[in-house]
Amino acid sequence: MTQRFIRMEGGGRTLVLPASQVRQIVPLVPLIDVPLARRHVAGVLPLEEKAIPVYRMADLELPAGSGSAPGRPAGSEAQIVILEAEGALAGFLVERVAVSGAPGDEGTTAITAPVLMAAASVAASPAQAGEGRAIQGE
Amino acid sequence: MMRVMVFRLSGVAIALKLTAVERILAPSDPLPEGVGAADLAAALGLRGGLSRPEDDHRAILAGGGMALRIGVPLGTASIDPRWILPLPGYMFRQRSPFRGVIVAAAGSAGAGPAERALLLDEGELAELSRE
Repeated sequence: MTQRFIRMEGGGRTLVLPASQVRQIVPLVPLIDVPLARRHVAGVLPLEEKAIPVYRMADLELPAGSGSAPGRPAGSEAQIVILEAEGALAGFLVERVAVSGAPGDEGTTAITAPVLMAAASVAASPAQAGEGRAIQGE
Repeated sequence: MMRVMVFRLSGVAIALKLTAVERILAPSDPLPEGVGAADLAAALGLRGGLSRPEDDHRAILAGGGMALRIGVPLGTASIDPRWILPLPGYMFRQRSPFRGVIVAAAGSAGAGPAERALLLDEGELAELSRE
């Protein structure tokens, strides 16, 4: 049986991963803003009785050679690609998504859901930690 | 079922267990003597939003020692605790102050004051207030 791949474009990156690791692709809907979330967290999507974190691809620190520069302004994201790995779900904002029969070509980066999801869950940088927590008296 | 109060603070719908709240103060109500004041929006890093500071209510937390500025109350709702959708801790820059997301359609008998809200962890709230 021929393996299928999902090609997802967002934040100046084009990633290709096995379609079997994609749980669902949904149209962009308003997300729940989450205070104190890390910079690359776009919000939370309640789906299938779960609160799924949704990430901006431009802000992810991906393995070398994955293209783009972190911090690139958000593009016209139109869909959320929901990946599944080891029982966990995570969403990624994309501008375009397509099904492909090939694992990738020039200008694309082959990746897997566990790697992408691990990149999304890396520890916060020291600069980000500590923002916004201190409560202020009146 | 768990009773929660839902309020809108800087544009974000937030919920808190009713048992964690002793009393709500209207914007014009004076702060009772001996009660400290704290700003939840600042603690959560919220800035701006559509609410006006002069509309903000305050919630005196159970125990009576702290009044938290909470924005505009939207009402109360009953939720099934099994329908609190937990948030992964790695989403946060620091320890999460939330128990999770509550979604009215999933967990309550009818339409609530907000379709979905972030449920504060009252234990973390007490911690915040002490900082």
